[in-house]
Amino acid sequence: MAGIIDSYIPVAIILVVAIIMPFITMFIVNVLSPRSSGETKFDTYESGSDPTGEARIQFKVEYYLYAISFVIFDVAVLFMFPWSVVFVGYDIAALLTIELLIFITVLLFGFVYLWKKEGLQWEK
Amino acid sequence: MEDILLLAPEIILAVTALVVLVAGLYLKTEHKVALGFISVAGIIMAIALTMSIMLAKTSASMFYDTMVIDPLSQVFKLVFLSVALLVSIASVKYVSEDRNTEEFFALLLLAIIGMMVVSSSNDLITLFLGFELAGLATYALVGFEKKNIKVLEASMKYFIIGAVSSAFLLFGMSYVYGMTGTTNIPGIAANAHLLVDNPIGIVAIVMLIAGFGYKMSLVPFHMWAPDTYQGAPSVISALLAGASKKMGFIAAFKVIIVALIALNAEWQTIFAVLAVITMTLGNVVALSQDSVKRMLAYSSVAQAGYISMAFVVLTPTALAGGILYILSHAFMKAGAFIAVAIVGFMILVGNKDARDTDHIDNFRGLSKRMPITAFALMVFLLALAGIPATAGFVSKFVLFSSTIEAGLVWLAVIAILNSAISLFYYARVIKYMYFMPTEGGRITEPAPYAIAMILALVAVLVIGIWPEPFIYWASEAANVLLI
Amino acid sequence: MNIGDFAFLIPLLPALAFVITLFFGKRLYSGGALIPIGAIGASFIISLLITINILQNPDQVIHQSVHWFAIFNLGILIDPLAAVMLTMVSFVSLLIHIYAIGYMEHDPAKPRYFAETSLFTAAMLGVVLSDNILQMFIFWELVGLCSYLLIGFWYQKPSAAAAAKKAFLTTRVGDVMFLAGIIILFASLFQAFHGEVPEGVYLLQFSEMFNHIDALAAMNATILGMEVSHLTIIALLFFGGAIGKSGQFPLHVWLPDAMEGPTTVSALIHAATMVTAGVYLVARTFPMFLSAPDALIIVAYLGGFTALFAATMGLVMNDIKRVLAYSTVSQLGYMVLGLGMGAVVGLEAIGVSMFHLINHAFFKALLFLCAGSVIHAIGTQDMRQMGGLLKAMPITAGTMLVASLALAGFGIPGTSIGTSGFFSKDAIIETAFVFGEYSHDWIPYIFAILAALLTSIYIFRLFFMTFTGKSRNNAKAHEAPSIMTVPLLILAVFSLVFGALTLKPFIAFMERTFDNNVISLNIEHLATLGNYDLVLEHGPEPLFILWLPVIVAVAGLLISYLLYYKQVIDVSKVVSRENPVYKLLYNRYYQHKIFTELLATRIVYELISLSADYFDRKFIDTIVDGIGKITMSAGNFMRKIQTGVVQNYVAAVVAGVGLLIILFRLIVEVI
Repeated sequence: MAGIIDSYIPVAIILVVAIIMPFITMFIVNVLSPRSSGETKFDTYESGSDPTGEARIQFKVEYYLYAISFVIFDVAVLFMFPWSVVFVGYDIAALLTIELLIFITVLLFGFVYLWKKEGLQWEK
Repeated sequence: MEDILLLAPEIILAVTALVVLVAGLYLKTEHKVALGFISVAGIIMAIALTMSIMLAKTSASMFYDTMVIDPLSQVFKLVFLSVALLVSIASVKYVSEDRNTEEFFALLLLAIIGMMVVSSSNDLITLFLGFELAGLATYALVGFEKKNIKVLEASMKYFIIGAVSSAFLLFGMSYVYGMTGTTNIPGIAANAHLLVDNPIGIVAIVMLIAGFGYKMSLVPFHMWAPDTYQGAPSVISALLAGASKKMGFIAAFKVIIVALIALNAEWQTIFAVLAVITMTLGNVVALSQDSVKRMLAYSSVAQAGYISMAFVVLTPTALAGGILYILSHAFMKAGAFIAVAIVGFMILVGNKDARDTDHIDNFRGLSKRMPITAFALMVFLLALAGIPATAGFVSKFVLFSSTIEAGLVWLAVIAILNSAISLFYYARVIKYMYFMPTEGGRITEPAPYAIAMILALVAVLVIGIWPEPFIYWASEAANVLLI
Repeated sequence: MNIGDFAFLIPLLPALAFVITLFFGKRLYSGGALIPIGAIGASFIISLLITINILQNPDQVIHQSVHWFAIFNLGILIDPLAAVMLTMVSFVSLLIHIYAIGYMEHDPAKPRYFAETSLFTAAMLGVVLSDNILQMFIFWELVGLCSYLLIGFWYQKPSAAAAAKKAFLTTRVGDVMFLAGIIILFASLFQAFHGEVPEGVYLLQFSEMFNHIDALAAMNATILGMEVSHLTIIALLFFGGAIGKSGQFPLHVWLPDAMEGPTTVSALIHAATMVTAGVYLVARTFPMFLSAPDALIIVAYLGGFTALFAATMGLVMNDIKRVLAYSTVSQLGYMVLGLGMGAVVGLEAIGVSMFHLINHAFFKALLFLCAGSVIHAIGTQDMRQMGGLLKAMPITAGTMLVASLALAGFGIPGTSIGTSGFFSKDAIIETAFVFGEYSHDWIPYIFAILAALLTSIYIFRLFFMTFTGKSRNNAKAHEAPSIMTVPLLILAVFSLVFGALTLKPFIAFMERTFDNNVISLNIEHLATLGNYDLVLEHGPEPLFILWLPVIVAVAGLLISYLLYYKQVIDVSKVVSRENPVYKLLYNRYYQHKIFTELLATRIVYELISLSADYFDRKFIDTIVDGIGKITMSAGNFMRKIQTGVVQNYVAAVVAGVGLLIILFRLIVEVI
């Protein structure tokens, strides 16, 4: 028990430091920095050039759909990695192949669904 | 390979879900009603298989001891499947003429698979997977009417609280794993002393209670329930109250009773406190609700309090009573929500843009407008209140008497007082239905709704009048927990 | 496939008919009358086949039982007693239902009527075939409920509503005693088993009850300084239930008022489905009475007294149905008296009493249906407005005459010529004589013989006033349609010949009730427990005794003939408000005054109710209202916690986790 807690002591120290540090720096800045006010000071900072347009522009919602489908298939493919590596040397190759084929079939259904529901179509 | 056959019900549901999903892509909207029938057929096959496995009293463990088949898991699977059957029959009407029928039924089936995995799981990882599968599917189902702002709000709240609770659950599980070095539930039970002796053990168990308590809707993790039950489509409320809530109980039974609580009797006190607060708050707040669905939601919170008494008493009879209560409540509550769905349908027939279809004023004189629905709803409400000859009475009787037997008279007295309070708000609806005038004309119930409701009605009455086989199987299931 | 396997259908079919008629009756012919008729007809056929089966083989009775809820069971027991009852109830009820198609023709609420009578029949059939006393009690209560609904069938009439309430509340007094008896029985048996009941043993089954009579008799309780065995208490409480249902003194007051329902309902209540339940209960639990000291004597006295008491009131009633109502009370008194005679003749008492019950069912149903036919024809129930209907309604008059002869008990002793009432009532009176002979207690016999005289007088008074003389009203009377007269004729045939055909075998058959494959009792042993000396053989009684009931009946006929037909004395002189005897009788012994005004108003209402009311208002209400108000406002307060803002919900979850951790910590540390 004590062992577990002990191993967290460095974490605790970092935590404490992390909480205290901002206050200290802000305090120091507050004390040391000179003050002046002007129009430029309250402007949006955009890499030195003059700011143009709204910051809140809209992305097409299809973008998220697209991204989510990508992530789903990406993660699904990730499952195949342990399948190909971990079971080396076990004598259940046939069963494993069937299992993975089932897995891929199910994924395929998902793909068909996505396609038919026009999830892959950029412009509608 | 024989093991796989024991999971045939789940496999059938999964195949049905895929078939429904893909078939729906190629069907015109007006033909999609067939999807409902396919789902119903799949569920009926799954029920038959589950029942045959249960009646054979099969006990098996599979997939490296991460899944088990025993009376407990089969009884719960039957609860989930029965509710799924009722909901899918009723939904044939609810989603008719909807473009996305296939998604509805596929999600419904996936949610049920998730719950069945939970009831069979013997490992924290499988349990969590099932929990999340059911959770994600129901989040989407609650928000099925995506153009309806109220439904979206309900879905959003459900999802956010669900995410928070999942985080707690997973956190708790990781602590348990850290303390005991295993995720296997019997393995945890064997090493439970490691948890008990450790202050972190308390944190772990509280987090597990929070995670499961969210599904069980125990106070104070119940806050989403009234909003979600009220906002969600009534058939989905039926699914949430009838099945999803019960998934929380089976998970808690498995992890908390089997693995943890038996070791430390004092911890039962915490459940006594939770049970009392839950039932009292649920009943008292239900008193002043004007929305019938919201009232049913609070009643469902209160019922969770009664069922939690099983965690306190922990005798075989009490657990059997709790399981019987879960079974009865699944039918009573699902039936009541389906009846409310029918009333909503009736109101919408009269006025397409009607809002708050479940307001109690809409139940005025229902006995004249829809006598069958009014009668069925009356039976469901009386059953929820625990009037004899209904399932509610039998399960309350077994549970409360086991509490008294165990010497916890004070707890039983509180529960009985709570039942007395609850009768007030149930009777209020009955008063509106039978003794208030109405100007509306008579309306025939759509067949799918009526069939689902009458099935639930028959179940409630059969359990009430003929409880023996149900008590027997509940005891069989309870025995699994206490070995 | 044995016919006994269908026994469960006997009450189930009428119960299903109830549901169907209630929901779909409106769209069917004659308010759905055919559904109950079909269902009860089927029940009748099944009952009849079962009875024939048991008649051929009285050792093999039908007994089925299934486990139901904790330590109780649901079961069917059809032994000779139940078989005969089932057949009679379903048969009479069938005829009354057919008759009702005609009688209720113009009533708009026909579906409700037929649904309720169907349920009524189902409940009574359920009472009869129960194999345990709890199930019997459930059906018994259902009978009470149906009678309430049917007596108040025309609930728009205040008098009907009041009568229904009276019937319900009065029988309830008996029901409470019955229930108390069951509870004491259960508790005592539980004690006899030392709290450990083996699986498959159901304490409240009749067979189980009878097997443990010895144990029950051995338990004693002290009441008012007297040592009484539990058995006696239970038997008397059961008898209390019977008093309520079967209208025995002093709980008979509801029966005459129950006339407010449709006449067919009266016929059902009086002949088939309700009042006989009490007699049946005593017959069913007869072994317990037989082994309880003095219980049977109390039964006998009360029955005899009721028989005479009700007959005196029947003499002066002017409402045709009320005369019949008092007649029912009086005849039920005979049946109860007959059961009480078991103190001397043992099981034969059941035979005698049940025989009268069956015969009475036939002729009393007939009397009521005839009366209904008369009322249907001329639209009044007051006999002073009737008269001279003989010509207009020959079938009704003829069948009424048959029924009256049966009620008065006309026949020739020593032969098999006679009405059914003659055989059965004479059997009871003869048994009362045997009782007097062996116990030297002649009071029951005197009660019985006097009541027989009065019976004959009042029933022929009714007949002469209704059917002979000059018409006293302007209504154009006509014979009832054939759907009504056919049941009358069938019942008339039964009233005439049933008794003659079945007397000896019937009584022997009844005695087999407690000697078969399910229940087999040692009657002599039980009688010793109850201190009764049984006379197993009693020879032919003296000729005078055999003839006396007939002589008395003829005398009654003559008196009525002289008074109401020849009118040798001006009846109106006797029947005047000045005559104290008439006044006493006409006011029904001031029972109404005693029960309603003195007991109910003065004592119960003013003394108990008002003070209780004051206490209730001042103390209880404040507390109850207070609790209600607090709960409601707590609800209103707590619903405000539910803000609807999801951030707060998450905060609540996190706070809940924190609180729980603290709570756990505290609990772990404290303990």
